[in-house]
Amino acid sequence: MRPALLVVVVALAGVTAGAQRAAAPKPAQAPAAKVPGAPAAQPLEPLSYVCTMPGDENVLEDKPGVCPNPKCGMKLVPVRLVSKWSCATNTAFIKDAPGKCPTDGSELVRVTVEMTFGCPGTKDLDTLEPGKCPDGTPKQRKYAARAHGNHNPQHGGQFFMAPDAWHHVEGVYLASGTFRLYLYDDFTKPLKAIDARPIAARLVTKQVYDPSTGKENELEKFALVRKGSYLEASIGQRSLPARMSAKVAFKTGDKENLFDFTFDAFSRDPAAPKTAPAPVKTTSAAPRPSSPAATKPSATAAAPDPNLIELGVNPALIATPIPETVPEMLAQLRTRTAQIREFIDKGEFAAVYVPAFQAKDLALALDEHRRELTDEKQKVVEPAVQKVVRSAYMLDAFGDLGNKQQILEAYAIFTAAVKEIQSAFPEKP
Amino acid sequence: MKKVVCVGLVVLAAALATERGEAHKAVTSKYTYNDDVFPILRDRCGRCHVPGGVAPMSLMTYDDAFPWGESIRAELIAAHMPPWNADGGFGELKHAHALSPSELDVILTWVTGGNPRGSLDQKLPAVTLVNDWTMGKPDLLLPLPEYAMAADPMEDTKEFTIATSTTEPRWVRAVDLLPGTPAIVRSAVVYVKSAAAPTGGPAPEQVLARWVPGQDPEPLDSGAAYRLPAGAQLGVRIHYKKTWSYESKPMTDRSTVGVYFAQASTAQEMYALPLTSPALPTADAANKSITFSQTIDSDLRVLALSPEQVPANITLQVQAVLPNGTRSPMIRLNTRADWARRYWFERPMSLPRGSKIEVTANLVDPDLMSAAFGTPAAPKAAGPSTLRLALSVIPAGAKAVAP
Repeated sequence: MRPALLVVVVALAGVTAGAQRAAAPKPAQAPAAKVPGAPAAQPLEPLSYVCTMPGDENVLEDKPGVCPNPKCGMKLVPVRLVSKWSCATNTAFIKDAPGKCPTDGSELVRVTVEMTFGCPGTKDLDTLEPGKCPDGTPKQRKYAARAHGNHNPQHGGQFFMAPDAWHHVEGVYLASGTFRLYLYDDFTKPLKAIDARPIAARLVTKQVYDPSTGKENELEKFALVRKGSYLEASIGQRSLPARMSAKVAFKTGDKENLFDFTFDAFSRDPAAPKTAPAPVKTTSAAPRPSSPAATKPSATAAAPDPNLIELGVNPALIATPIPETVPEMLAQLRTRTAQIREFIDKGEFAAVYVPAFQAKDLALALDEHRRELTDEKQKVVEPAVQKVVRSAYMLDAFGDLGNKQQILEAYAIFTAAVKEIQSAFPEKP
Repeated sequence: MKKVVCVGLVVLAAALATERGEAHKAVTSKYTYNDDVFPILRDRCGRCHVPGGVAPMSLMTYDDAFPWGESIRAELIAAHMPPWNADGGFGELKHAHALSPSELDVILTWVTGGNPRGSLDQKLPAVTLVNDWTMGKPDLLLPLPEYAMAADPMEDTKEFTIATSTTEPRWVRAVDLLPGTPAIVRSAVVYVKSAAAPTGGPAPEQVLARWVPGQDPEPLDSGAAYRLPAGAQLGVRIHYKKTWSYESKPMTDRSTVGVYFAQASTAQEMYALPLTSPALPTADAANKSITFSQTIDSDLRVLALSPEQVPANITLQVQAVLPNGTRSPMIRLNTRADWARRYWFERPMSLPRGSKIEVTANLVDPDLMSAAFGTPAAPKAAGPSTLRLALSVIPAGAKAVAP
């Protein structure tokens, strides 16, 4: 039972951990940033109800209830979600209106935050309703930024986050030959009409790179027309896999954002059964190891769990323990590097983080063997491992954005560093 | 199997028990601030990211650090922080200010995995700003006049001239700067003022220090020294910059230059060998890369390299090509505004006459993170039309002489 549980926990932690990392460019916690103002002069935003169960972060109800997982039965907890403005790179400032970030002068970006009412210097008195502090003064509004809890496709398509970390899109290619681009906010709620109105987008199905201008020449493109909560174009049935790029400006005059989609099959309604689950873009806990050894299960468990493979899970998405020997580590590193490339080639950008983080952990494990090398080779390994760590996180971040060119650039850094590591370590003991 | 998965989920759920209203505080990090992150931040970042330090925020308490999680993530992935812009895999440099791979991973895991604090009962030691001479008290203290920075400007560069009042020539092994108001002193260059025009070849090194926050001076202890003429005047160019905390506030500074004299009565004089590029490609040029080289006409030992005039956000690679064709990597840099320091080689590089110093500059911004996320790049003023680097050298075979 213990080994089985360990493998499941390792697999769950590994498979899910990365999703939240890139998916949540804001810290999951934020300071209780205080914004002075009258505590309850206006009607309060309604309460929402969320599930604290790992894996169910996407549950968002407008009335009390229980989490959908019947085995757990936890009660939904109330939160008051409001839309505010904050710096793109820190949540030290939460403002009511657009403006400039005082730290770097960038435009403030939209964020969904939890609002509570509290007293200075303590979290113990925080409540969802206004009230008074022990000294008789009114409680102040406090805001805490929320993580992106749900990066799962809602309509069976491919889901990406925009670089502004607030907008999210999902591309869907239906068997009817229709392409749809669903638009969401940072809580994966469909955009309100007022937020969708300024968005301009087109779908490019054929383009060639012009080296003389350094730009793509678009040979076939379609306007994406707004229809309710999504944009749509009829592009006809194409041979699969079908590759296409949505170019989206979220505001008039804004820089276009590129989202590259690759459809191996036509998108299906999410209610339809899936044979192989996509990597779950949600959160889970990695149990804190009691000792460094706890992070290195025995090499006998190095192969992906056959039970998970039986369930149809792509081996590239299954976390495996770090093997004990250097040659095994190098072999796994090679496999993981190839798996990243496969995901990129297939357009499954959101899955890239799984083998990338596994490769990163392998590189860190190899770094622990650095001292076994000659001085010259040691000098190669440490900076190379550092680059693998950085570029793995870069792949994770870029995977969520869905821009293939950016992912390939990060992958080039990654593979160059992996090659340096491989060149330094002997293939055989 | 399903049962096992469910048990696994329950275990994870128990581990993740959260407070009311914090449903989406997803904690995936096995590292906590108290146990894992704080020691790294204190030791690697605490000279600047401390209350009163030059950095825009302190990271020395949990409450200080966690709002900046995303900023920390972006800066680390882009290799902007720590501000050591040299590639560790190319050339061998002293005092690399870099995180080890595991330190990097700990912080990145923490900032992306829910920023867990650790035990609430755990009290961390307070970290306070240390503003003192890292090499001990200097032999000669040269206080600068007070500089008053008005409320409006966010940054300014001020040039000071100070008299050394030395009555005889002296050898100097190091020069340091002690900021009066560390929060606004962003960088400084200390140099010997001289009327001599540059010759293009090696000339006595006049730049005594390129100071950036968090970097200790490099003492010349191997017989090399800077020559300080009798009665020399020093130029001190300080770049002042307010962080957002001091926006719209008038500030003052009175920094002090510290001079450490060499103990020996004789030494080998440091020279500077300038390397200047032809005109750089223009912004609209298809080829954004340029390579140039300079052949040295005498045997030299190269101690350090300083990017004196380089555009920010480019990649610069310098290597020596010996007469027999052997290539010795010297440095590869991603240049950043405000971080122009002198890079000291781990060991002096001996270059025989006829060696070439080959410099390749790629003007494409290497910062993929800023490009992807559209975070504002460092302000790009019109860049210089040429590159200028300087090698700090000692002619091989030079004898120690009196100053």
